[in-house]
Amino acid sequence: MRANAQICRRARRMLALKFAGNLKLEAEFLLESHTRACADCRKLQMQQDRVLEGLNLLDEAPVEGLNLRESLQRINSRIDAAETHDWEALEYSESATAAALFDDLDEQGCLTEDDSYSLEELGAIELEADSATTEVARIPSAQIVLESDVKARESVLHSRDIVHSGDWDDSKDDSRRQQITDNARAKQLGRPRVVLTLSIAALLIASVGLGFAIWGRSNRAIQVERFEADLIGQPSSPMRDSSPVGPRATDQEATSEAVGEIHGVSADAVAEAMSKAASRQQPNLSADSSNPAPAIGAIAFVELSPPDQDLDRRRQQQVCSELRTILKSAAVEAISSEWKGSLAGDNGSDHSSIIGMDDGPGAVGGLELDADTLLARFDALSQGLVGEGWPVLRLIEPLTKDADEVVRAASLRVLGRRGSNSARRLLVAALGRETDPRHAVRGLMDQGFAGLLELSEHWPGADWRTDVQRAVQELDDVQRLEWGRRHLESALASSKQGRHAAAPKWRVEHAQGRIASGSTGASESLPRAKFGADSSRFVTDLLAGCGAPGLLLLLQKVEGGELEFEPVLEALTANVAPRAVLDRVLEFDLRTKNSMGRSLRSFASSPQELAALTALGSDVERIWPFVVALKPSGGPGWLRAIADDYDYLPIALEGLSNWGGVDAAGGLLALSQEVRSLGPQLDGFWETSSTADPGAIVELIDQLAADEDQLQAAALLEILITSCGVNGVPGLVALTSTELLQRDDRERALLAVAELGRAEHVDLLMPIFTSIGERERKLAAVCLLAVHRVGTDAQWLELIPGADSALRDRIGSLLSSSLDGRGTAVALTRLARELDTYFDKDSIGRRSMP
Amino acid sequence: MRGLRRLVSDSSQTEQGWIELSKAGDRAAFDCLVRMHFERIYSRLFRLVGNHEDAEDLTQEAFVRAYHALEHFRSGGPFAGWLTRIAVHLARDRARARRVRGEDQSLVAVDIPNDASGGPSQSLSQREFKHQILCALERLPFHLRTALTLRVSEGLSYAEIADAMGLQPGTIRTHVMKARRMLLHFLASQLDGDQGGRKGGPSA
Repeated sequence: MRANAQICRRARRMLALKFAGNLKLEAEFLLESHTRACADCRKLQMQQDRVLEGLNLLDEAPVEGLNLRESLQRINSRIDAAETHDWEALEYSESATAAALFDDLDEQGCLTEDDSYSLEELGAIELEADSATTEVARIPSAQIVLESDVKARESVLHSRDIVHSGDWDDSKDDSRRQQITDNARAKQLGRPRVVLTLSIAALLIASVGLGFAIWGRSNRAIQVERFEADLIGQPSSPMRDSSPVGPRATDQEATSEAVGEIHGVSADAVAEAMSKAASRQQPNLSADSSNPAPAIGAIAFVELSPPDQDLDRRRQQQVCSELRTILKSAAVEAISSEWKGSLAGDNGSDHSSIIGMDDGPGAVGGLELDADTLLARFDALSQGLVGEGWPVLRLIEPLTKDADEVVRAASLRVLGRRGSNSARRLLVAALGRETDPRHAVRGLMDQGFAGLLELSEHWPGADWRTDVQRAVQELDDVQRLEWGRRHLESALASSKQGRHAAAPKWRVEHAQGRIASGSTGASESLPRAKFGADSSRFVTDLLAGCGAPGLLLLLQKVEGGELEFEPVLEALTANVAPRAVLDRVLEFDLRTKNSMGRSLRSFASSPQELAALTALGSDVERIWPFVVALKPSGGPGWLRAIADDYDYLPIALEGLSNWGGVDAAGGLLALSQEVRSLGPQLDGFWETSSTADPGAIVELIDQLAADEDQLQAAALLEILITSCGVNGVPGLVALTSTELLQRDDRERALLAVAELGRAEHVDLLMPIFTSIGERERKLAAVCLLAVHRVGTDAQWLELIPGADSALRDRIGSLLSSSLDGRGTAVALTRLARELDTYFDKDSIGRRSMP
Repeated sequence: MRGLRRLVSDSSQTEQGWIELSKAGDRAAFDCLVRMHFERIYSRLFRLVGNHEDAEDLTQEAFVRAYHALEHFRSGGPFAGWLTRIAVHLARDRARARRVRGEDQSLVAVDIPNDASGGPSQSLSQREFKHQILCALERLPFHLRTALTLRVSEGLSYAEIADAMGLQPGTIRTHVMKARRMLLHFLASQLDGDQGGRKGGPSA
């Protein structure tokens, strides 16, 4: 009894192990034998098995319901959202605001389908391009907009609400309204966070203002320097008491620049806001319902508004004018020497009269500005203004839209070399203007990787592409990959959606221009990215050269049907080792459970890399389509080898029959002898093979003749007669012309030719007759018969030119009698006898000739 | 098999490459990692939370967390295990939060599909049994349920589960045993009745 209890305890332990899947097989046998004898343990085992069964009954995870692409997008957006937590995240320009708004409109279906939008559909939204403000009319809670302009994101939410709460097309379904309500709720939820951010910003601003108040006039120069250093991050020269502006004005300028930097608002917007604030004469304007839509820049300025008496607008305008002159004269000196001759001949004092010509040699669009010279000259000329503390770079930003092309070009180049993020936006905007793309491209290229990234989304015209491509090639791998990825995404998005969806800033700038110019109501096309064959080739080559991530990116695009496989594969083979390509494709295929094999069948230009395939040879069914598609040189041998396994025999036969070439034909012949039992099935493979490459069989016969392999030749004869039909005729003729076959077999081969051959085969038969005629009369008779059957009378008569008319008649009669099929053998014997007469006479005649 | 092993080995090397690139901020490489592991993590989370929406959401969150914590990942370690660990913690936190908020966290909420292949009566009894299994699983503490699920349903080794749950393998073994005991206890009446029915069926 005690022994039984011990055994039961042991069995229970085993049961527990079995539950967790840890029981060894021999122990399981012991357990089984015990449970057969012990009712309690048996019961427990059954219960446990039932529980395990129940656990297995639980549903599998519905992975087929997953949308990996969508999930990836969500993950990326979550990552992006988590990453935007620093001060840079607050830099929402009007462009970004409008971009978000436009995207929202696009999602809501407000943009028309033919790549255009209607300004009327924008409803109450009004975007002012120059003043860089976002005015939103009829905002229910304008107060919040006024207070929260620090974060322009909030105004986006308001803008969305306004659009939705405005005149809405009743035909739109209710789900949109629900979505709008959800947006509003989301906004309400986000409000405390905005208020918190506002509080921090206000605290910061107040502390700065307090600093100004305390230090005031006593130590203003030092204070401004520190302020600029902190907020602008640019070196500032010590302020002179003799500054023409006066210390207060400089403070104000620095402050507005700093705020502009934070908000992404351009300098002219700040200036505009300053003038508005000055005209209102309200030092501490706060947002209220009486002023529902002040500009962002104005609000930012109003918070920091200095006393009006310190504002020297006149001096500021004077400085802007001075900078314009400086830029112009620096540009003239920086124009490449190629054009200086033509300039020198004209009135040098008025450069604009020369340079401003649109189609003359001095037209700035066709001129090269030497950036180094331009910068050096500009620095030298603007040294005084910089010394006074003027933020010259900010002040030349408006000059990128100057009426004078020289000024525009020079300002773009200076901003390209020296400018900040906001300057980059101006350069991008200039890309869209027809007159300035060259200098905008150069300016962006001067900005290094960040500028090139912009160009990846705003692909310039064909004239500048080569320069950009060259610059991109000089980037490091990671940067090249990022550039290529963005460019590809942008171009694909453009081609897919019919508009430049991946570059909202571009669209926004364009829309702003349209609105500013006052056109309303009309629909128009938005600019598209051009992604021609050269660009496509460039970006695929670029990504293919970026190693594994680029490779994978391209393959993903192929998988998604966004890119054609052939050009991608071409790029991969041109840039990556063939073995690596194949491994990657196979791995990608395996991992994504998608069949790339189908696409790979078009990969006819593959390098001969059998090693890459046979290394993976254990997985035959997976590899063989690749072998067939890529046709590596050792493929027939590999197929011949896998046929040793009877399961793979059909694969091997099919592969060899479709392969073409002498190796495949030889492999097929060898296999056919080993598996004769397949019979009719083999006929099909040979028919395929002889159709795919008829010349391969003749080559094989030559090879057999060289090897003197009579056995294989005899086997091939049977196959050619029974399986290949008309495609086997060249092979039959070739076999007859060798010494591999016995005489009877050669006669059979020629008789088969007579049965299967066509008129085009006569040319093959005639040399045979000539070569064997005198030696083997009966074979010659068969050959003559074959020529008679497949050719014309003139052709068989041509074979016996020396025969007299009586002999011709007799031979003709015998040949005709053989046609009915009954007396072929007799006819052949008689024909051979007639040929004896002919050849003997002919030989006597030849012998008698001098 | 040799070829496949080589392929797998190459694949793990590739994974390491992607991890390194992702650490350097390469999002395309991280996308590749997501593609590699998404289904696996989702499947594990589905077992733990019992519904598609939560599982998918938590899977996405797991990858977001993983991205931000990539710098702490030891190169050369099992990335799938590390991800599973994040996922398990997320599932645990979600369960805790729901419990605190008093929300329904029932595994039984899932609509059990009707498998009619074995006839209506068999299908009904199977559905009932599934329901009872889910109820019993739901009564298990989260850590026991996790250990049991990862071991029995997902087939992970004790070491892998220990790595995912941040415990010792011996502790996991104990958890699985404890979960088994509790399951048998919770299902005792059903199993007895079921057994009686089974016994009675053929003899009758």
